[in-house]
Amino acid sequence: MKNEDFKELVDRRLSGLVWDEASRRKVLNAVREEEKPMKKKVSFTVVLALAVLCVAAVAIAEGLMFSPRYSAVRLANQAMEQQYGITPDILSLFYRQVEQHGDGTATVTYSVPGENGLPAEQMGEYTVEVKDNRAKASWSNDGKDTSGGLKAEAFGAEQLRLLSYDYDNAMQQLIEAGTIQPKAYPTPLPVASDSPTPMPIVWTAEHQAASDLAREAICQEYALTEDQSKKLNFEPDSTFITWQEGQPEAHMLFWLWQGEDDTFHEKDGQYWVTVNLNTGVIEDILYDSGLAANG
Amino acid sequence: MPNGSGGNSREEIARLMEQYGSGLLRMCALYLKDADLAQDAVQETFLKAYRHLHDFRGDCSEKTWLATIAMNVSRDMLRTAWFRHQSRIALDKLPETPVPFAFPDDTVLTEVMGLPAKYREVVLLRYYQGLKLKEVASALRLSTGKVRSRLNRANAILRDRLKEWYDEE
Repeated sequence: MKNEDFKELVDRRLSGLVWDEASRRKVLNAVREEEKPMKKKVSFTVVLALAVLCVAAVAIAEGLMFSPRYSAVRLANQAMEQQYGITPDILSLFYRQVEQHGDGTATVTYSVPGENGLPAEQMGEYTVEVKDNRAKASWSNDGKDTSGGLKAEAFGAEQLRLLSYDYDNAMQQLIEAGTIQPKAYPTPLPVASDSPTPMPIVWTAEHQAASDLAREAICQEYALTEDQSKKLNFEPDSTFITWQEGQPEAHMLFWLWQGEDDTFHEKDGQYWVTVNLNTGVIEDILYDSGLAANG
Repeated sequence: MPNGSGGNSREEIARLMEQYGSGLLRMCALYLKDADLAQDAVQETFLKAYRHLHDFRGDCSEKTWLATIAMNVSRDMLRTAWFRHQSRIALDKLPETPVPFAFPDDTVLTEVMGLPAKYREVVLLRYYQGLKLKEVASALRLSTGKVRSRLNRANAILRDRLKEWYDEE
């Protein structure tokens, strides 16, 4: 591919997409806002940092605290592995949703996102019911035949592994077999946006305390070796805060790449950890191996 | 060259936006596949650039520095759980070009946008932003070998799907 041709093509096709005056003003206004209320911002940051420091000290002394939501997720993940052989690396192919019920039970579902054109029908949807510290998983394709590689009626762990570790070839085979459409992309996702608006933060050294909790949680939950723990990188610039029912939650990104080549090593990937800044409770950990189309 | 002193910082950011804003916006739109999200990503890019103006030591060009920030902001958006499952393809949402072009069916752009993210990012940084291999590697925190291997793979996929376009080289 020639740089100039491609650049020219993009600039021509997207010539209507320009960084206009309105966008420029938005940034400059935001810059002015950052300069103006420095006093207020500092006090917020200090209060937050102090809270985090106290909470972190207590949490580390007493051991990590996990939310009921994450506890349900942990059990659900274990059930997926024990019942269906779906390990965390290939579980990244699915979109996880958690529904907590008033009676202390929870339902965790793993469905297939449409944007990568994955064979949703064959992969099906998993539902894990969590009750009294026990989890039981079921699959929408239970009873269907999973033998025959990528020609199988339903895709179990074997096929998910192929899709994860040999994505291009697997997708090509599925296209050739007519299982998926070659132009599965673009496929609009009819998912409404109901995410909390993230609040950017100015990262300070004090926030390290919250990230220490997150790091410890990853190492514990994913049983990282000492070497893996050392290589686990934290991305402070990616941190953002959302408010959930009046509670500030920090979402922090860690990543682990153990090799210099393009080979996946066990436990490689991104780890998003959500920590409640008032209580120090680990609200969630989401692991994405980065395999398949996300890598 | 950026510097971080008071009102000068705002002037610097204004200049950087003027010079690089549209290019970053188009790169992010192709990476994120959504023009509105690309606006958010580039806005965040310039805010981060403003906050770190004083850290910029000129070890790389301004363009490389900004492209690195923009790609990492976009990567984070793409990887964040709540974003991953809301992303929607929006080539048809992108403003129409007023200029007639030889590939009006958007084949090339569609195929580039259809590449897995790990290939899309190297293609956009290398071929659209014109970064050197080692700059792409540094931007994405990868080895140069890894970037080269991903570019080769991306080219192989595109060559297969865009025979006509490649044959014109």
